[in-house]
Amino acid sequence: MNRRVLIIDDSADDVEMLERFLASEATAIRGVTDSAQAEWAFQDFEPDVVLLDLHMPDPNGLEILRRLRGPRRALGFLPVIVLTGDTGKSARNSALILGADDFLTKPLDRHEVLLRVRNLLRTRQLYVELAEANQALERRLPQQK
Amino acid sequence: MKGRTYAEKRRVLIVDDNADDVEMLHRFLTQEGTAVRGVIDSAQAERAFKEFEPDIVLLDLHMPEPDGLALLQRLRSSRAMIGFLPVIVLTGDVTKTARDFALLFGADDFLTKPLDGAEVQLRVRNLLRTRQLYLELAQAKRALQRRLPKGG
Repeated sequence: MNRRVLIIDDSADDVEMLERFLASEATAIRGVTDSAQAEWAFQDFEPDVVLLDLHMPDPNGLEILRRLRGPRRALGFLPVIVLTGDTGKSARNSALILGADDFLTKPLDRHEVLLRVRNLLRTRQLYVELAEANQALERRLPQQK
Repeated sequence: MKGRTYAEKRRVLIVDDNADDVEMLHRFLTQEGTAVRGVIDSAQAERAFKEFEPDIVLLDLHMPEPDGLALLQRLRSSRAMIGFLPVIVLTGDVTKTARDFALLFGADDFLTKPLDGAEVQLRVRNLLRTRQLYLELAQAKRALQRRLPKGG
């Protein structure tokens, strides 16, 4: 099972810390500090989970959530965890409306980061396994005339 | 639950010993296309889980025995057999220990009391959407299996 983690955060220190926290859990990690590169990295890296900071220079996290909506939908279940120092209700609910699956509040706690990423990767894995099983079944079907 | 299709009503099971909270959640979550059941006696939770076949569970942590963590542990294997069956933990306890234990036992999300109606609706909606994606695939799988030649 692939456990590819894409981190989008304009703070290089936070990216570096998250990479350290997730080194044992992920099969591959890519960090992006320039949010303008986020969509491209999403297409290119094909992550299994995205960690996305909310407060960044344009495009900010909410804008990226909006832009990734279509691509995420096309993939089935592709979880996004929002990182934020902002614990206000409005930021949180806006992110939820735009399809965030979970939150991590800064300052980040290593154990919590690991557990939340692990749980969402498990759900992603269930989804991918079922999708692959269906593809295998389709291949076994007799060819339609 | 094997035969559930995604066209059916979504079922929400609430387990909370506080009847007021159950009633409030009920109000937040009752809408067209959703069936809600509340359980205030946590000893009845497992039975309700089997009987009601929920699509999502909202589970209070602090209850007389069995408490929320014990229930998370007891429901683990049933949930694993079902595939993806999300549990949102409700808690007034924002300590790291409570949160990490719940995550460790497979909670998918948290709602901190006092509850915010909009947040409850959004988190439930998002997890139900994930559940629906999963159910759609499971249904597609059953359809594919029926189309396979016998013994094939």
